[in-house]
Amino acid sequence: MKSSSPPETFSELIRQKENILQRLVPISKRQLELVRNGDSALLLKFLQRKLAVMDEFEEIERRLTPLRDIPPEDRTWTSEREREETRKAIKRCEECLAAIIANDAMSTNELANVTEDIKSQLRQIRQSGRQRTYAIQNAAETPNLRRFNVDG
Amino acid sequence: MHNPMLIPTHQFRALFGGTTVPVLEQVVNFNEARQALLAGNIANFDTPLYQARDVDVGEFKRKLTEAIERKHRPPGPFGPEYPFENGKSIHGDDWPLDQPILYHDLNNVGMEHQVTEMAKNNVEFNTALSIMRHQMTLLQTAISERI
Repeated sequence: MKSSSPPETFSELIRQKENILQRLVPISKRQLELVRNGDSALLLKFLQRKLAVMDEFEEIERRLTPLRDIPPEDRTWTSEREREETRKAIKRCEECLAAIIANDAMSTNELANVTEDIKSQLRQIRQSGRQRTYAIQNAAETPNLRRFNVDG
Repeated sequence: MHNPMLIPTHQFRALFGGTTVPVLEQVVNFNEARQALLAGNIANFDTPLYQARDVDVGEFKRKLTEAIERKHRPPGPFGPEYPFENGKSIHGDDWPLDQPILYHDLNNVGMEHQVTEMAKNNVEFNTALSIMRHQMTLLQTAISERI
């Protein structure tokens, strides 16, 4: 039995998905640059803008979901050429997605390392602060003890 | 008089004059150097008469932009690998080689300020990290179509 959903929709959605993913490739490269640049405020602004593209991506994925339930052999195509073009577009989508995920993984790992470094430095500062407080308290108490010993 | 706290001129020149090292690497080097300086400031907090040091981030960004723009211009008679002659840019604009990008803050920015900046950075980076992780998960769960 052939599916009632028009094959154009599937092809069209794949084309839209490819378009979004092609836009996300340079975005993921820029994200990595910004992470390495170390400007946290700029990175946040950039991520805010990226969010709009990610929303588009989510929306496409959502619209593709019902079409995924249709077995591939049940899809109808206007022509063999249309099917072949869609097949190629899917392959390009997969390549884009792999590149984006690779860049994003790099960004995430590098940023995680940065935050760990900062956390560790802040921990050290807190520790040295406690040591300083202890040393000051100790220094304040020592003369009294000496006086006590001498007097005693 | 040579000041050991200053970035040597030849390093400064290499930072922007060289064209073989990618720009991005220069940015990473600069940020690493700055992070080390800030950590040094904190480590020397108790050192008497120690003056906090920092590099001029704005100046670095300006010079980097100029360097990138220069790279896109057609090479001059000496080629892009020799952008300086006698301490001056052959592309017209004088390079302030006697002016270091590393400066000592004579007001000696307080420890509290530096730690606050660091903590603020950390909060922003953590927020960015959460967003990035969420977005990456979305991409990783994208389903490959069958045809």
